[in-house]
Amino acid sequence: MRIQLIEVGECAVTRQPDLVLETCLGSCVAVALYDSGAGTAGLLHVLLPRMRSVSMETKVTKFADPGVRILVEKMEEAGARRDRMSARLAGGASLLEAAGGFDLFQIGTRNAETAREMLGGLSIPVVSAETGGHVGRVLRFHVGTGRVTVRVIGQKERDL
Amino acid sequence: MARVPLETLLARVERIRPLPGVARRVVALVEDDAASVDKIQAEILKDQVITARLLKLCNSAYYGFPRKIGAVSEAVVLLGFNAVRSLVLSLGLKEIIQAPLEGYSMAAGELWRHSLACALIARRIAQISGYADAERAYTAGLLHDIGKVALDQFVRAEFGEIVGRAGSGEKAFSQAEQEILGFDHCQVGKMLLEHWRLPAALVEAVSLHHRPSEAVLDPRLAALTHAADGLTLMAGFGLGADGLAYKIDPAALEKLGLDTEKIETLLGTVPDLVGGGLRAYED
Ligand SMILES: [Fe+2]
Ligand SMILES: [Fe+2]
Repeated sequence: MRIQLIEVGECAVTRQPDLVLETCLGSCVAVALYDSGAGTAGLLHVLLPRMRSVSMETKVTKFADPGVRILVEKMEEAGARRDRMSARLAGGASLLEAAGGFDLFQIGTRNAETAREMLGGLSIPVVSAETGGHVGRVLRFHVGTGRVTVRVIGQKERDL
Repeated sequence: MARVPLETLLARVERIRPLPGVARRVVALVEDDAASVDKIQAEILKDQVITARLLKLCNSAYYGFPRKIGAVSEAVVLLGFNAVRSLVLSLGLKEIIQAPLEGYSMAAGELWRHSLACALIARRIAQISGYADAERAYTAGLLHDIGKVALDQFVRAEFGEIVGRAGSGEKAFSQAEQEILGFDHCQVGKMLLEHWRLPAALVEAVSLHHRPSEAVLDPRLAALTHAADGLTLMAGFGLGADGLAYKIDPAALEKLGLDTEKIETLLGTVPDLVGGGLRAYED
């Protein structure tokens, strides 16, 4: 088992069965896509919900929109079929107290919502999700089996 | 209850592998009004490893200087005293914080990733919010969690109980440390930095990075360190046990003039800013 760290804003697609993709999530949301028929796994680490301006961006996969669409396209290029894809989501924690003028500032929640919207628009079902709360999470995606686990510090790793 | 006696803790602080001599001397020198390019260069040149790494960093794509920097003195002139201090301190710190911290559920190298990310974000916040000494902000970010290195073994011994209190998400990890051990990593960081004779405002920012509203010497520096730590965790860099139930104090953001839009823009720069920084420091 080899572990590959997926950094913030990255998008990775692979069919290597011995690989485990790992990513660490605060308010970010991980979108794990799997096509069991093709054995293709894709992982996106979303930092922000939507791109505000096109011009300056170097890494558009850090946004749920258009990141999710790019992830799906990459999956298709690697031989996956959209009608066989299923999605799992994790992350989107909130690190801000709901106080002062910051009530609306819920980046984590908006990340998760936007990712869901994008997936819905592409007719990809979300089969499992663990989002929100106030805790950081580590997600692992076992490419060979499609198994996805989530771990909160001090707790046992759980299947997602 | 397993409160750690102060003497035990102080002994532990003194046994922490010290910053390399060159880092300590350059820090002291830059604080000193008599600093000069020659003096700083002379100190750096005493350490061949740091000299080589410093030049490699300055010539990396991350810094992107248009021409090759061949001598330490050139780097000092181009970057300025404070930025060179930041580089030398970072290189020195990287050496001593690589070990895994089991008590904080941090794998090898994770505290380094967290610290460098926080430093780079702190510097960026300083620039955005008009805090004059961006390199001091960087340094506070770099050192904010250093107390974990000394407190780790004690936290490890009581991990179950500490996480039991913090894990539900209602109580910050540092508060649980405080309740069970009698110390948290912020206070221990303060001891360590005082032991290293770093400036008082910096010590304050580190010791109050989870409670910035209590700062009196330099409240903005403490606010900045706190905000940078929070954004670092939001982006997922070095999520250890400290990432449990972390809450950013909105008053700190207000003090820095950071609103939702500014924060989103700042977060958007993190992949390049921190990803590039981490790569530049790779051996
Ligand atoms: Fe901390
Ligand atoms: Fe921290």
